[in-house]
Amino acid sequence: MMSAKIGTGLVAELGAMRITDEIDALEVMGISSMTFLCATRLLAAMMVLPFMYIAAIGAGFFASYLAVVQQIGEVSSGGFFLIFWMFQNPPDLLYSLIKAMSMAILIVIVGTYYGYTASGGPVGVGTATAKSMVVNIIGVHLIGMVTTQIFWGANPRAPIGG
Amino acid sequence: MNTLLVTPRNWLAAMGDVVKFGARMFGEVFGLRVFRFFGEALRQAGVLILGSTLVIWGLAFILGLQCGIEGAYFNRSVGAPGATCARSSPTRSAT
Repeated sequence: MMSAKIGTGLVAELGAMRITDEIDALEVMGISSMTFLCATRLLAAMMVLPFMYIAAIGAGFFASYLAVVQQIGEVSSGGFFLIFWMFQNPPDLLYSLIKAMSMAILIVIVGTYYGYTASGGPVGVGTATAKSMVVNIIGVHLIGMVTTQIFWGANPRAPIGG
Repeated sequence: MNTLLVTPRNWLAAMGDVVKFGARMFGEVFGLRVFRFFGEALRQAGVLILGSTLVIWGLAFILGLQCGIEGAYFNRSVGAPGATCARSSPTRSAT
């Protein structure tokens, strides 16, 4: 979701700035374009995304409650929350936050890199956007694999089978 | 043989460039130089909140709905309808 919405937006924005020489203009004015354009976006992502992620997880839980309890009526509300709280715990939320933030930081870095180094006119910006999407997809899956193994590989913390 | 190695070599070079770029960005942020432009960082945070929050929350909501529905039907099919919310937990699947 993030690489599609935020990553490609970063590449397109910075790439357009690069091919219209706005980044060179910043350098001419004595402003470090790297700090002004890239580092500020990374800092903004670090400030906003943890809260956005936790709220998104809440939206997901709320939606699954709506689907299971209200829409299908498979279990009662009490039954839902009994099993829900058996499977949820603060360390899991913290680990998933670390995992999501690792992915978010990768997406911002890849997006700003491909935007900042774009060349070859509007076609070049399009190519850079496509490349960034490929790198993001691979990177997100790699981070997902590695962090899932690290955080839940040895101990899934799921109360199944006693 | 050398021509076969050109593509992977280019990929590796690009990966190295991204890592170098990322390290430089981290240096700017954790070296606190970015705070010279803290106003711009706040503006970017605002852009992120106004532009992306609703889309991401909406997608997470749809994902939760989908996990709930599919979890409910799967658990019913294996005779354990009560365990639905364990399977529909997006904490581990949404990321």
